[in-house]
Amino acid sequence: MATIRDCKKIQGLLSEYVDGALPTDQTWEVDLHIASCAVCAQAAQELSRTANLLRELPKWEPSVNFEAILAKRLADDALKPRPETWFSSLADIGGRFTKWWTLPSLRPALAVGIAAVVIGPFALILSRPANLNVSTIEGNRNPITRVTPKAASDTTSLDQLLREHSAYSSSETLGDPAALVSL
Amino acid sequence: MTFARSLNLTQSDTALISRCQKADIAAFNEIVGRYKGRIYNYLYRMTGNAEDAEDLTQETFVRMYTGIASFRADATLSTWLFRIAGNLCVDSFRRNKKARELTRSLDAPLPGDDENHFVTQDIPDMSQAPETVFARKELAGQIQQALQKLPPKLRSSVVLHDIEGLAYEEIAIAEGIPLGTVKSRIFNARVALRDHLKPYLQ
Repeated sequence: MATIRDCKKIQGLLSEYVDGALPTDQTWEVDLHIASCAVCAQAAQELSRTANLLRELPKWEPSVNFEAILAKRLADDALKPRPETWFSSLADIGGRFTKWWTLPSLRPALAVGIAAVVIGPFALILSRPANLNVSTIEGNRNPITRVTPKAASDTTSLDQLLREHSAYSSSETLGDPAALVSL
Repeated sequence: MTFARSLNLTQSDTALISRCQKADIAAFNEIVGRYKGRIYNYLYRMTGNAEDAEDLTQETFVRMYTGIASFRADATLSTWLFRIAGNLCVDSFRRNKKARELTRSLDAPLPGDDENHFVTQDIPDMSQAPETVFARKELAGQIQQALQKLPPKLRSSVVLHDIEGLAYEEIAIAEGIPLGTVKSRIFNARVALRDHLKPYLQ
């Protein structure tokens, strides 16, 4: 005798059963159950009839000028501006640049600009003051490179420094220990 | 010429897609001719509205045309088209949700509209009007109303299966859901439809 539990299990299979989509063993199980259970047999019949009602519904067709409208829509769609994406923006910038730099009137200016960019750094290196004395402190595992202004060791510059110092000392007596001794 | 035309008519979907990918307009037209009826019928059953169905069918083929290059052989042309149509339908329902909520009718699903737990408004018991029960047109109208009351996910699966004749596996591909989900949706949809259409099942 079929139990409520059996009925619940069988009714869960009924939709596939009416489609003939169950494996053989389950089909046999449902067959056996509905042969002795009027409730499940009726449920199977109702589900089958429901599916048949849907299958027998009249088929609807689109309008007769469907293709003509579609052709117009496709043409309109082709002319529609594409939505902005980061990639399309990038491509757009690239496209604009290409257009701009190929303009004949701008070519001489562009040539001068490129020349400045390319030659500029070399010109700067060549015109750099050559008065840097590079010495290396040896005796260290990692040699330290020290750059001293060559001008500091130059005699003329030293004289100038001394002159400035004495001028400063004479104006500031209290600040100069040598002046205090002489007093 | 006639022979060539008959050859074209029997060309497989794969061959048509291949030609369409090479910008062959005749192949595109052939696909439209082959599938417009099925897509329109599916969308009509989904929306319950001829105007929306026509518009969404047009849009389905526009999307197909613009996306034909990305078509992969893991789906058939029909499942791909039904997938495009289904997605457009979902978008359309989302757009119209506010309006539907404002103008709730017998056709509109009620709040708490999910695929497993849903309630619907009662329809008049047509068994009280025997002169109309057997009128085919009336019956078709009642079935459409019952379909409209289903949540869209259930409606889509049952329409694809029982009306468009797609197999469970094809629906799983078209809707991008597991096979078990397809089966349970069809089962739930049929049970709900059976309850609404009981007077017509005798």
